[in-house]
Amino acid sequence: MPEVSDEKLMQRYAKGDVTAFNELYQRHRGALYRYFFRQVSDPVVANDLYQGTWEKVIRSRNSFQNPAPFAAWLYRIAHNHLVDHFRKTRLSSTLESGELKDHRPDPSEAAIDDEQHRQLHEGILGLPEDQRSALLLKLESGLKVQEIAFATGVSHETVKSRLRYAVSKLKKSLVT
Amino acid sequence: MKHPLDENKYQPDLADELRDIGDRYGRLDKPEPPAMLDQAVLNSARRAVARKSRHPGLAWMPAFATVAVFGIAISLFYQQADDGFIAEPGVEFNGKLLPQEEQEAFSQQVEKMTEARESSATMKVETDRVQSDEAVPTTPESLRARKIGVANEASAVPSRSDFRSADTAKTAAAGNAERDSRQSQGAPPQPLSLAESVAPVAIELQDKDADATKRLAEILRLKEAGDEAWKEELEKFTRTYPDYDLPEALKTPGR
Repeated sequence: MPEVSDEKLMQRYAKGDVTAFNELYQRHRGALYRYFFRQVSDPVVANDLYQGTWEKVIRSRNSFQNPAPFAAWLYRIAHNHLVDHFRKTRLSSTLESGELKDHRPDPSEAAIDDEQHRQLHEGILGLPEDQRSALLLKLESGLKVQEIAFATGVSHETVKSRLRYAVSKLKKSLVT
Repeated sequence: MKHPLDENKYQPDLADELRDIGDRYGRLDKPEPPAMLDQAVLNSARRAVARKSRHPGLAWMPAFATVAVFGIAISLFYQQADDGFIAEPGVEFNGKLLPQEEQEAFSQQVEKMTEARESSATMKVETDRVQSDEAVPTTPESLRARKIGVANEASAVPSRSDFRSADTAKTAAAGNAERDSRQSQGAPPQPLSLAESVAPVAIELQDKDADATKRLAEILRLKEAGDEAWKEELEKFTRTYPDYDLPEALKTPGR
């Protein structure tokens, strides 16, 4: 029996089917949580952003439209929520101004097992916010370029450019 | 149909590089949201749906109830106002409204009086018609001639007034008998109708007319017979009927 699509589940939930939302939540809970966790690397902030995003999804359940994939719609909400958070904490400008090292989390707290994982984790955190967001949407959430473009509100060419820069920077950080 | 957000093919080198980074990324630990957070989100989703479905389709009820209450209140107000303006005044006695039963009895009595008034009017019309049939003389001469003629015929043939008097007397007697029988049977006394109360007066007037005619005829007979007693009878007659217009034969100075 084929799996019910995310879009169908969301439509059923909008009509009052709570079990459909449970199914949808189980499908996306891990990836969405890690999307926030890799962005801020603070479990408390990640929890707030995660819960806030799902609250917005619940409130906006009647405005979901079928032609847009649910994942792209979900991460658009998540991305906007994250951008709002960065604006409030000025973390985004701080990261882009090269002051990342002062705010890097303790590697032991992030439970990095080996040196390579630690380098990758730090490399992701060291990326500019827009490149990091595009990369995480690609690696963690598995979104396609067009879906990333929809979620972040830019053109797909811009998404490809951000991905290219992000990969290039990560390779350099991993080699060194 | 191809989805508008389908993946566009990008450069192969970027895809290879992303695959390499993706392999390394996949080996990172995968933190999960706390169970408490999961429960909070699911509860929130359940509450949102429950709030909406608690009274499905009944959102119009408060507005409808409000409008209905106002409508009923306004209609009651206008109904009471109308009743106050068009209410029939109750029957009052000594400044107090009579009870409903007495008001109904009063109304019935008024109806009976109205019917009696109408029937008396009908009787008057009938009486006028009969009198016109008799060609009642309007001038004194014709009246005298009529009375003399009637007096002459009085002893031999009963006049129509006699028949009428007899009929009326019969009717009145029958009505009295019926009323007496009703009262003797214990039935409550009923008010006399106008016809019943007028009948004795008519009988009396007709009897007087007949008596005057008879007495005048007798006086004339005595005078023609040369009996002087006619003068005494004539005086009695004029005392009894001072306004009666005497015939010329009895108006002689030598009377």
